[in-house]
Amino acid sequence: MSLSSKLWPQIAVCVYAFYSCSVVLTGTYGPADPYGHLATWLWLVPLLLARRDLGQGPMVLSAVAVVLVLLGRLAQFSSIKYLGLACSVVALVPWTHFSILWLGLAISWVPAFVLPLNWIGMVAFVSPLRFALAALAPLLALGHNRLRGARA
Amino acid sequence: MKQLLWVLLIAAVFFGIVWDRYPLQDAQDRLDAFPLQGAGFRGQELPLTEFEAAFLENVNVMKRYYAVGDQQVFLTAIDGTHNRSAVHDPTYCYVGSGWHVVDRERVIFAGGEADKIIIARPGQQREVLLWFSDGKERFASVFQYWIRATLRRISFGASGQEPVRVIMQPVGGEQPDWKKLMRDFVPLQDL
Repeated sequence: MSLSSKLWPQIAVCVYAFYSCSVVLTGTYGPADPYGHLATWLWLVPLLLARRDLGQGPMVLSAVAVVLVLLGRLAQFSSIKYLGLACSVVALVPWTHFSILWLGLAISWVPAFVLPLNWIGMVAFVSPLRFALAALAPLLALGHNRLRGARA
Repeated sequence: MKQLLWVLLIAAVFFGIVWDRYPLQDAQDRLDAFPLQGAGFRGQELPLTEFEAAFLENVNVMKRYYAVGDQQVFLTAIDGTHNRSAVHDPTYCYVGSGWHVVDRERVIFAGGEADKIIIARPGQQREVLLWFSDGKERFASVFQYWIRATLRRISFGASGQEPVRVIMQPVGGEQPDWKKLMRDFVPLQDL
């Protein structure tokens, strides 16, 4: 794995974002959703699949991530922080159509994902839905890599 | 761009540290001032469960039992000034504890509004009354709470007092007469 010099500030942004959102890696999401944070780890798998391309992502997205995390911290509005965290991770790899899907799938590990399900009386399905959505991230990444490989 | 990102990141970390050290006034004084007993009511402090204590870290909580006239209730007030995420829709916790929400309606009472939620599990049904209060106004909308709490943080507290989440539920299976309770339990209007 070659590490471009661009990667270091982007990794620093990731560390800052994870430090501000540690609950999504280790925390308790709530009584109906005790293992919700494991969806985060599943969502992160595409990083391993793209390890050769790390540091070739858009730095603008890293900058957006910093702003979102800071805003979320100041306003104590966690979902803004989580969006910033997702941006900081997606910014590590080159921007493609998959990046948009990957960002969208970050909803799978956002703790507040349970709230709309609670309002419509489907809170019992929160864990399966989280893991199904999070598992789409590595699956789509694999598919995307194969497609790129075939084109090359 | 690389240098700019470093500068932005360092500025964000510095600004965040400074912000974290700004002492936003919390609602602890209001919780402390809430009387344990008075005309027509008497109360008792209740300890938090282990789960509550872990989940409500950095949160000011008042959890009490009250007898108001011939009615008995549990009263919980949660001040999320230092951990706003701890203030959330409690129906989520009820569902996680094996209850399901049967009905939810907005009710008007003296000095404001509240959400009345009916929860049930096999052989049991209960009503719970929920609202937010900033000491002057009482409202039920979670979105209103989010907006107020966010504005308050961004304005360094200038936009008003911190709204606290208030939860009142009956002791045992008896359904309280909420209107009578809200009328007789006068200090609730200043919480």
